[in-house]
Amino acid sequence: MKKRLISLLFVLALCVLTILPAFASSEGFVFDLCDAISDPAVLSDEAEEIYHQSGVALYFIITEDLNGMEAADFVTAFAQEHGFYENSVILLDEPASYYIRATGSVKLRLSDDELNAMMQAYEDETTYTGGIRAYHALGLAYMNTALTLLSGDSSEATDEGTAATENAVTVPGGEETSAHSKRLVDDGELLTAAQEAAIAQRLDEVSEKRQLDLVIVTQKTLGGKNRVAFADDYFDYNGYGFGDDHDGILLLYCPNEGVRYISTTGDAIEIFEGDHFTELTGEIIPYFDRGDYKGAFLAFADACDDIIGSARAFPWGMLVIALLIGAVLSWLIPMSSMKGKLKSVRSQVAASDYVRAGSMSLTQNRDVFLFANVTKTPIPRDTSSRGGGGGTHVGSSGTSHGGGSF
Amino acid sequence: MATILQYKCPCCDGKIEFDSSLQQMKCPFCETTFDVSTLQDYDEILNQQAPQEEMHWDTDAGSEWGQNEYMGVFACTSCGGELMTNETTAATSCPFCGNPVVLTGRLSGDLKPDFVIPFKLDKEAAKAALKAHISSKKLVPKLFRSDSHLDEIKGVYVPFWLFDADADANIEYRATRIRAWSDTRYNYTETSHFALLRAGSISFDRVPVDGSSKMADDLMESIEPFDFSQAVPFQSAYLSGFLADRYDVTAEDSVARANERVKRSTEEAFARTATGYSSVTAKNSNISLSNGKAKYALYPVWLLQTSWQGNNYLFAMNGQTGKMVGDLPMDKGAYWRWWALWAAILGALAFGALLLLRLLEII
Repeated sequence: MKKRLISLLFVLALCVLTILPAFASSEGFVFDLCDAISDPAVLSDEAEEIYHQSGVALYFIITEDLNGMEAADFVTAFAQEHGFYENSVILLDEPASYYIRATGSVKLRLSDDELNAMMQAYEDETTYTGGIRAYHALGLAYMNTALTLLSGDSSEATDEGTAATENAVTVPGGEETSAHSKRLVDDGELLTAAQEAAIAQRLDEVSEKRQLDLVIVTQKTLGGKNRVAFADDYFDYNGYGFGDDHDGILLLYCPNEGVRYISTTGDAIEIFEGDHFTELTGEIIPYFDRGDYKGAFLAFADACDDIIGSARAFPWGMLVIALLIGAVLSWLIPMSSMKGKLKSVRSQVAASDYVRAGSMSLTQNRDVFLFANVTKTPIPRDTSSRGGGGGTHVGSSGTSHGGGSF
Repeated sequence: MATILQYKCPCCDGKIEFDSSLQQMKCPFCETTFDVSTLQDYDEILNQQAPQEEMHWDTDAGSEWGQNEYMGVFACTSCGGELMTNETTAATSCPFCGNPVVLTGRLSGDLKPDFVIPFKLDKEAAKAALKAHISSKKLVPKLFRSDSHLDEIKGVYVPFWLFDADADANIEYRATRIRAWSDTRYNYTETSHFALLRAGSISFDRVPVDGSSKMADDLMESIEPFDFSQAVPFQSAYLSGFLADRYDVTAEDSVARANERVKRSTEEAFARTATGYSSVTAKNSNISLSNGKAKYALYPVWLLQTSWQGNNYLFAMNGQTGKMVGDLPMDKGAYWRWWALWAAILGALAFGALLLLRLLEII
């Protein structure tokens, strides 16, 4: 419920954000505060085109005066003031320094080296226009590279934007990935063909039965990407997930980089959090520890099957407890009141109706303090461990994900 | 020897009675109304003119009844029919001709009442109040509402002893005050104990105790309070048209009940002066009563009796304020149906709450 609520709020926030950028885009992507650039509008249009292709806004600001602020604070304030998109790169050129920053999911997708390279590309050019174009081109190239890596061998990016500009690294075209396509992607080459077939079959069975995609991805390397962004984007850009919420769970395993990560989407976020996450990983870890990948992946499928089943089962026990509570409460409050109304003949215990008005007088009225006790009890601390799934985050495609490492 | 007093209309000689809505005597035949005092004076004039007819009191009958079941027989002066009354009946009506009768002999015994609160509400009001009393209760069997038979409805002047008393109290209470606070590691609770001493006096006026053994004490206490400001000095004319009982429990025997209530109220009143404490309990309580005075008054009560499925149900209504009391039978089927309904509603709410708690990971 909480997750749904958060999702709802997020969707609302997204709606607002899609309206805000309408204003933001009217202000453009290139901000020339000191009349240094001859054709900022053209450059801005180019950046807007890149935004539509990649989902990433590349902003450029040039100014001679930071209003007494640090560069970082200036950028933050400027971005807020002009309603910048959440997933963006902002490059600032001011007399004392160059400054570049990635925001939103771009932070996870671009390494520091890549950001530095984008800044360097701008610096290396002799004209502002040339510099900005170089910055745009490299940014778009990095975005496309990320998509290429995510889309793997057999699938392609779903975003038409990757077809893109001359500077872009193009992605192999192909049919759109169906939600029920390959659920086991063994790019890490850990499994034999026979093992792959067995695991894929089991994943398909459980996924269809539970209407929730179970995906296992092994990789040799994540290409320097953050595990969270990699797993989330892999799920999103390959079109996994059932229904409008894209219900699904993805296990990412990259032994070379020590990555064992589970990403959850849609209903799976709620199902696989807290104790259920611990339960799931508890089933898999022993197999990983023995190096039994087939066993681990089959255990993953079985555990998911069980957990989804129990999470979706109607909580009869809770209903019985609730009805008992209801029966006791109704006996205590409304029924005793209704029954009490039948009896109206009662002896009076007091005579307060007959006190002579103002007749009460106090001749002694002393309150004597005797003693005091102080008791102290330790404040209980929350020591329960949580396996993962604490909160959700949003991938570059705008979908919410949960999950965690184990 | 008892006498029967019937007030005759000075205009038409019809038997007239007290009309509670007009608060006057009214002749049902010629509809003339009179002040009670006027009639009283007129009656006295008549009495001077003619000697009172003596009633025949069939004392022989007494031997056949047990002592507690003593009945007297009177002849109605209007139709000659025989009236059977028990020892403490002071006013009634003739079962044959319906004429209201006041047995003045019964009232001229030990004590004459000091005050009477005249009936303010009539028989129709009592019937309406009973209907409202029954229909407002959901657990009363439906058949009781429709089938129960109103066997008897009578307006009775019930004898009450009214006790005045001054209470001198000397009470020691134990009280506690609780303060709680916390720092980063502990919750602290400080319980301070106090001894509270309270002494003083409080006075009570006209605490009523039912002086008729025929009336259940709890029934009579349930229709309290009566508004004494509407009481008038006793005149037998008010009794006309109603039943009236003479006291058969003496003031001395009734005072214990009044004392009980006075002491309880005194303790409560002084406990209310101890404010700002989490708990206050009386440890030692010493209450002495003084200046006790008793008055004798007749209070108006409508008694209604219904029968249903072989059981009798007695209701009483305060004839002055209209407060209606009387225990009602319960429909067990309805009880379980309502319980099931409430259990389902509250159970559904509890289920929702539990689901919410689980989603929020509180449980």
